[in-house]
Amino acid sequence: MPLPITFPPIDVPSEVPVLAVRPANWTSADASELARRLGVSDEPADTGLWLVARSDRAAVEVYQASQSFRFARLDLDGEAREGADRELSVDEAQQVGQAWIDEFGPRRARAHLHSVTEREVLVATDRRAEPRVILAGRDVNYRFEVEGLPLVGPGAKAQVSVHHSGDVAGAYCFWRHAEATRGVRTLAIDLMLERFARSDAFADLTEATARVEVRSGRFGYLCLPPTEPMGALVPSLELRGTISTEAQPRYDFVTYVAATEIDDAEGKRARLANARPALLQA
Amino acid sequence: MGTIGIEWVQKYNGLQLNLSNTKAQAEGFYNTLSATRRFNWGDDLAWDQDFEQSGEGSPSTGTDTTWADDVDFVFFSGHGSPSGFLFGKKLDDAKAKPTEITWGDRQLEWIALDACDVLARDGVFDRWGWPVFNGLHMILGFDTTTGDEPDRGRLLAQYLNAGWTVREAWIRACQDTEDSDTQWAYLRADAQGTDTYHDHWWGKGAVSSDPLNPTTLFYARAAC
Repeated sequence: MPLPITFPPIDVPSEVPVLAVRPANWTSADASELARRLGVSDEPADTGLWLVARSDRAAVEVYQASQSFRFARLDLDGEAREGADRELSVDEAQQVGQAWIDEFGPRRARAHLHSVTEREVLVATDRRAEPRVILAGRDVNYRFEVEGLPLVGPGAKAQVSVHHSGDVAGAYCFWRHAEATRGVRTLAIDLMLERFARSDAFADLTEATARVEVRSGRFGYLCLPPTEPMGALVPSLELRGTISTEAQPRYDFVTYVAATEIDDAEGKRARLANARPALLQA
Repeated sequence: MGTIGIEWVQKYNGLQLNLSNTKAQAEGFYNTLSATRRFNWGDDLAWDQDFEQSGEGSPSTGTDTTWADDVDFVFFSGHGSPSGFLFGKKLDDAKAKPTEITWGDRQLEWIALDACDVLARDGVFDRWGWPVFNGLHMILGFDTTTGDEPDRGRLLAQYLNAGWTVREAWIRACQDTEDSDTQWAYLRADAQGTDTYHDHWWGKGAVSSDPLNPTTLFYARAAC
């Protein structure tokens, strides 16, 4: 028997704007200015994927393929091995994170708080004793929206990592300048789900060996890692669900399905890099 | 120059959902890191016994001294769970389990297990810590589910080539390729006189001596 998959109700707009990506075109002067604002005065070096300004205290890495960048303090221990003598509160972390994102976040998108998570270290010195738990800091995580629609995937997010002392220990802002151009019709939801169900991922599974449940689905623009060039953000259906098999009773997955018809030749003629990224399952 | 090997599984032969990007992910690591390449086994040629200790488990078919424990850095890409990482060819039970694994007694310093949940927090020292580390410096993995994506191996290698420490390179590669619901994790060992926190890839900076009899284990996790 073919594998049945259950889906919840999913709404997708019938037409969405194409979000064309403006090339990054970082210059050494741009990277130098950003590094200076982040407190690193050393000149950036071109290391291929990145322009990197680095001092003994901190590093700034600019991703040449997008408008993304990363800041990291190099003089703070990532495992808080010096000891964390105070517990950083969620509220304090959030205030530090918001101040950073207000100053360094993108101007052309709405950053909204997604979560505040723990940066946790466990240390064990004896196999019979409970490990020591250290809260090394908290990460304040943001996601972005453009034109009121969410950006999904690894390449559209920001994080401010707040050290237990209250200092910013590191941060990144993964982002591409995207502008709405023409509108494009989305595929019928039934067609998207059918393509997902027929994908190679499920080819060898049957009703007798597996159970698949999609718990949620939403429309968003897929953004690739900040190291990868993109000509346009990819209209996608983000699906989250669970697969159960004997070998793996609960495998929670997140996957992406193209929400518009992608014509590879047309993408090439339009000089769109990564028009059909490998992250799309169907 | 250090030595590396990779194993990856896309076709699970009905044992689990097939994956699309594990080959590209593992080969991205293999073809990018400045290293001597020793082995690249995929799909039905990737076996759990390549990671398991000879004489351990039932059946005791482990051959890690020929494969995983005979190189400096191994990258595995496929499915996983807290109790092991999964293969598509059922020679043994298609799962490399920590109860049948001891790493570092021959060569292995670092292993990336790019698979879901292998380094899930609860009980991690008892599963993957004390029994497994015998000279091994660090296991890189995830506390949570992770995505089926093609770029992480290459980016890990590029960060290592650029001179970041092993732990920094892993964190960066995970943050670049996952959304923030995923939690990266690593587990490392130290012993008297060792410092694996500052480990770099061979030729790119300091590398600790091997923690042959670990006295301290460190586990770290955070959002990507």
